[in-house]
Amino acid sequence: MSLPRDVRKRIEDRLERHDAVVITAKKGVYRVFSKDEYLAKIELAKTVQPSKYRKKKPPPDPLGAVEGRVLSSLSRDEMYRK
Amino acid sequence: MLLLDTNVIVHAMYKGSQLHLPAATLLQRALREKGGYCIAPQNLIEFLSVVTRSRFVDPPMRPENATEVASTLFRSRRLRKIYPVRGTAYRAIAEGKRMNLTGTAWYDLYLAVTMRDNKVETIVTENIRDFRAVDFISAIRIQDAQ
Repeated sequence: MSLPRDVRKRIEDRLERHDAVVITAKKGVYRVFSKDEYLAKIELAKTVQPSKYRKKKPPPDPLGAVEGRVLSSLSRDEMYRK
Repeated sequence: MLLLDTNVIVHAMYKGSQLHLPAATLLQRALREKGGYCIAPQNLIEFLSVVTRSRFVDPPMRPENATEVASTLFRSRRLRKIYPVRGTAYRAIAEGKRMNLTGTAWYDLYLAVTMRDNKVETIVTENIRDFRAVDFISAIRIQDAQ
């Protein structure tokens, strides 16, 4: 796997210090952690639970749906019946 | 390529429908992603016919609102429109004769033959049962098309 030069450098720096290295990759962005930093980050996420505070996506509504109901089956048998 | 049946558009437009969420999700995707979904003119006209009648929806949409929705769908460059070609009616007649069709099933068949003439093989619909007899396309439920 080929990594960007600055990421390789950060990994090498950690390895020189004999740290265990954890690399995460998300949408092309690499982050380099020592094992302890990474475990602390995981623990923090468990305590804070960022997903609780994340803004909820609004439901899809591409054409401006109206408040209201569909009353019957929409088979063509129904649609074309007088 | 999936064809979105008329009922998908209707359910997407009514928040109180049990199928609103999956239908609106599909329609949103169809209007954002090019090349995945299509409709036929028959669907737009049926949509207008359904949403302006109190027998099918409560409340019915005002004609100016319903036609605005239909125009948006028609104008979308991402949602493909498929059309009957010169031989579509003739082929529908031949298929219907072979299947011994009667009544309103002819409208389903005409849509299915329009799909086949445009190399579209799958329809997303509330009524997969209506397309069971048509052996040259497949039908999947709205909630299964996610």
